[in-house]
Amino acid sequence: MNENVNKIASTLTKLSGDEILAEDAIEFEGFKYRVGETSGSNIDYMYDLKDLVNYSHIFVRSLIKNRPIKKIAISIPTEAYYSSKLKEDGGIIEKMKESLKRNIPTLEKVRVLPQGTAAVSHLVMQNMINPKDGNILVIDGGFNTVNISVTNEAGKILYTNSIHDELGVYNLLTEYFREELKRKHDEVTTNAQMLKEIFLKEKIDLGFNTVNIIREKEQALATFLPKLIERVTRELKKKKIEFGQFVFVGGISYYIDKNIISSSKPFFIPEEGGEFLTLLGMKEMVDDDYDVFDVGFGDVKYSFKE
Amino acid sequence: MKIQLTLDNPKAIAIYNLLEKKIKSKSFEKALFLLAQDSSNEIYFGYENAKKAKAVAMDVVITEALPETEPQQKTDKPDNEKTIDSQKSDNTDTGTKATSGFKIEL
Repeated sequence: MNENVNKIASTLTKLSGDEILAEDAIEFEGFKYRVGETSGSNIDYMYDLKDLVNYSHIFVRSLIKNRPIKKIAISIPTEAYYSSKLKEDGGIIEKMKESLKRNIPTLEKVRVLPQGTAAVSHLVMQNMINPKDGNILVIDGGFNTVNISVTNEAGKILYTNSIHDELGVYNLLTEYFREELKRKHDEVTTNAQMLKEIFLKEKIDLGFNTVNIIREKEQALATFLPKLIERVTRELKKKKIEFGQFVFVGGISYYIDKNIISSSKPFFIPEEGGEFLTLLGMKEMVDDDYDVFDVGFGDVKYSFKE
Repeated sequence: MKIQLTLDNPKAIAIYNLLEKKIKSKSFEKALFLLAQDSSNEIYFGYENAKKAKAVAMDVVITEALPETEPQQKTDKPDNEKTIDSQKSDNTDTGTKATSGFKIEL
């Protein structure tokens, strides 16, 4: 994995008391914020596109500290990107640029790029997938957004769709996985971060006992993945879009073992670092003097200029 | 006769629904076993394939009737089934750059 990539949780903590004097506090609309905290009080997640547009600059400002930043690339969900292209006013792309430039006066250039398809660009450049194997279906599963796109062998986008708050990692953990745990255990946390830890470690700590939860994990995936796949294929069928290969990228790739997939079509699931593929693709799409931010609803991935 | 179920084949979804129903009343391993053996489905699902199939509605190789001999052999991967490993070797063996002519439309 590229050493120049990092991530923090996409959380905003509204500060109070003496904390507002902290050096890392970022001011916005009369409040002071700190980003990336996962425990404590007054923590908010970004929830929708409006939040992305309004609050992304807080993450950028916090991460670059006081460095005068001139050029950045930032991501938005695939569908929002390509539908913006069709709008006269530039849609979310222009709103994001305007918000960043207004709140970071040193900014001279802002490139807005599409999540998911940027990841495919990186995978092709790295020879991890071959466009000649046919149209590429990309399932970019994030915290609460799944970006779906189909790209042809020249890189032309044939289809995009983004599913919000239905089939993301958050839903897998808090609905499907938690439901399975509840069958055996009376009290199960609703905290997505704790559920993530239990899921990935495959065991739950119950005081004097540690219990293996592999079966619950498998059952959660057995319910969740068919729903995700069915949703994807149903939409593609409706639009009569075909694909010759597929890739899972984004945080969801940590939850899918390639060995449980059997397909006659070539496919790719990264074994590690799946959440950074969009960021790496973005870095390849812009010049070296850009700072790059892939702003997701779960994590903000970032890489500073070379 | 083998049927290749693909992602866009609705029968794959039907099989998963069937599997899901069985899971509700039985343990998962038992459900897989039952599905693998259940001739009323008019398919031979195969234990290994059922195991693979448990998580995703993707390609599953099935046979239309219970095989008369060596059912385990029926569960082997078909020759044309590509996984990430074979895909990787495809890319490296040919020595061709997959990148030629590919540029994401922005």
